[in-house]
Amino acid sequence: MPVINFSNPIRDSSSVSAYSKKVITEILKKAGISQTTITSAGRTAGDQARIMYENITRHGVAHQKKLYGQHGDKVIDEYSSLQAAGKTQSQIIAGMTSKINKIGPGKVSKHAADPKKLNVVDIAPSSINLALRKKFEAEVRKDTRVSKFLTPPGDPAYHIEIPQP
Amino acid sequence: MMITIKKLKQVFIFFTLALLMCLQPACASKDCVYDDTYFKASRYSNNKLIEKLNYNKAENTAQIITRTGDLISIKHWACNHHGIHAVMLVGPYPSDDNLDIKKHFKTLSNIVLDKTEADIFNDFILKKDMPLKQKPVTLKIENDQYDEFYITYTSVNDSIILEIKVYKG
Repeated sequence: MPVINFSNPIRDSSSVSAYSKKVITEILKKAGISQTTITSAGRTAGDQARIMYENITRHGVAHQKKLYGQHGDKVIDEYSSLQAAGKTQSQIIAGMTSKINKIGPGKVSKHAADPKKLNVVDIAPSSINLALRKKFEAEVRKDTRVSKFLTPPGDPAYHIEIPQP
Repeated sequence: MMITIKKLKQVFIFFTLALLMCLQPACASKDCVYDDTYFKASRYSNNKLIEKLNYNKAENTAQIITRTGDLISIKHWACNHHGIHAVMLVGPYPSDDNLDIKKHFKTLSNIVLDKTEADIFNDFILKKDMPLKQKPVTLKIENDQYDEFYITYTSVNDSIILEIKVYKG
């Protein structure tokens, strides 16, 4: 039975449902892959707000605004206005969470979704033997349980979205 | 003359691979989480380590010839993820010149990484023993800010190939 590893098991292992693990395991088995590594999984709007808050405090508003597109910039602006108003960390994160929900979580991070409805996982291409990558890609594309699949070189990782039953 | 032909052959292979690496179009920015305006030609064109720059904004790619004649191919992501993949071909040089892997990696990181990533990278390689081997060596840089951050290096005849991949989503 193929093994699914997690780069960050504490953060991500509970975000991937038993159903999604079954889908991925079956794809791996069909592709002849014995193990792979999930580098990132789904996160709630609150998780996304906390990550963005930490990155802003670590790198600054200007640095983060250079990275994000228009939707992320609105969340950063929300941070700036709440910070200027003297709000506490938890109040700022709550405000950013509310902003993310208003914009639409999927516009601020492709990983931000309701895990009960959609599981989003990234698989490290480096965790799959080069000779088996085409077979893996073909098996994912064939699987109707996968709603969206992004591959290198357009994306750095194998990005897989699995709607939940 | 032999080295020149060998070098030209490598340049051809390298840029063909670089082209194949980048055939998919960049994401439409309005649907993207990350902003690709961060990836600008000026990021490279002002760098004194660079002799020639072939910059492709539409594909978010760049090919570089360094002042020392080494080749770098860069793919930048700024849509669903933010990150960079850079491959550097160093040489061909006499084998003794290839031994200092850290020196070549520092050149590559100075060209392709931003300050935050370069600081993490330089701290990492400072503590690592990095002997040159015929078989590719992959070293993961553990950092919870990134989904993946790793380097790979290997020697091929009189040249070495270095790779840095870092991204977050």
